[in-house]
Amino acid sequence: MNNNFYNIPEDWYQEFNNNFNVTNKQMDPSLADPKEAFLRGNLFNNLYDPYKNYRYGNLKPTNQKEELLYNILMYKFALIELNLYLDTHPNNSSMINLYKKYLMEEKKLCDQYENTYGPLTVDSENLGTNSWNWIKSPWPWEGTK
Amino acid sequence: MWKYVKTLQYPVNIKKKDLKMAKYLITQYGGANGELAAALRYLNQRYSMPDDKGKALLTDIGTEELGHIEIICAMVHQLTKGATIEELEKVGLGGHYSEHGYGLFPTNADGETFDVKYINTTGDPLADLSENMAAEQKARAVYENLINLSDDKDVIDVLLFLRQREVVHFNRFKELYEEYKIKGYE
Ligand SMILES: [Fe+2]
Repeated sequence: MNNNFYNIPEDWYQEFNNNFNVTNKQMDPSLADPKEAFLRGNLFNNLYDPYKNYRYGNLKPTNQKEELLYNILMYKFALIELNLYLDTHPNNSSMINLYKKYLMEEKKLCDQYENTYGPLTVDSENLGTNSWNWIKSPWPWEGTK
Repeated sequence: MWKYVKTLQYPVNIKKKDLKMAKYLITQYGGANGELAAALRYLNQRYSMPDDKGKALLTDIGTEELGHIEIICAMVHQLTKGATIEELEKVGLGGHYSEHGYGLFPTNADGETFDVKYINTTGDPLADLSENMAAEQKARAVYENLINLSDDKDVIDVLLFLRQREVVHFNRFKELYEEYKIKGYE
């Protein structure tokens, strides 16, 4: 395991921290790194609201498949957060740019995952030839017990 | 149109059977403040949103809530795996078993079935968005109650994640509400 889950390729999100957005003439919100954002369920530092003294979970991948999957989930999460933000701030071009960067990373990792472990969506490149890979267990709700 | 992605938004790997917790947790599937009600409410309200921001936000939050239904169902499924009839009866799930066997069903923690009235919609964007802000706050409060009821980290970590999503959704709805108020939409 190269412990990819703990390495964000570039600290793109850092650009936003305390940056004045010229196009929008306002402060861009300060963003967490994608890993912390995913684990705590919130990309936006100004919105983060912890509960009592509970510390958010620290997903530890136990094998390569999980490690790759958690990486994908991390980017998917950042994309959801930026998507919702952009819905109400559609003219923030720097945020659109960050969305595109994370989307590129997510696509790369999804391809890598699907090539090894089978399709995540039914329009994947890796659906099998003699056997239909899509139906293979485990399904998401089954866990890894 | 929707496309299924064969993964949960946040992983659920519960190792310990806990029927009591499953009985409480099911309310976030079929209860008044649950994820099913939220998903259907937003996806239903989007048709009367007055501009592109509203149509997009209701579609996208509604879509995320569909993923949250799946997380709650995964938790209930894993918490009840391998339960015997006697064990189900002991926590008051005998009634559930008689109707649904080992199948999932959207009810609240008291076993009352999902009610379509939870999908409040007035067609007035300001009223609907304040409904949604309240709904997100109520869902957050229910998640806190559920966290207080659990002592299993495998359960609590997922609930903390879902609770935080309610916080973000609340703020997005609030932003839109404030903008619509200034714009004078009604
Ligand atoms: Fe929500």
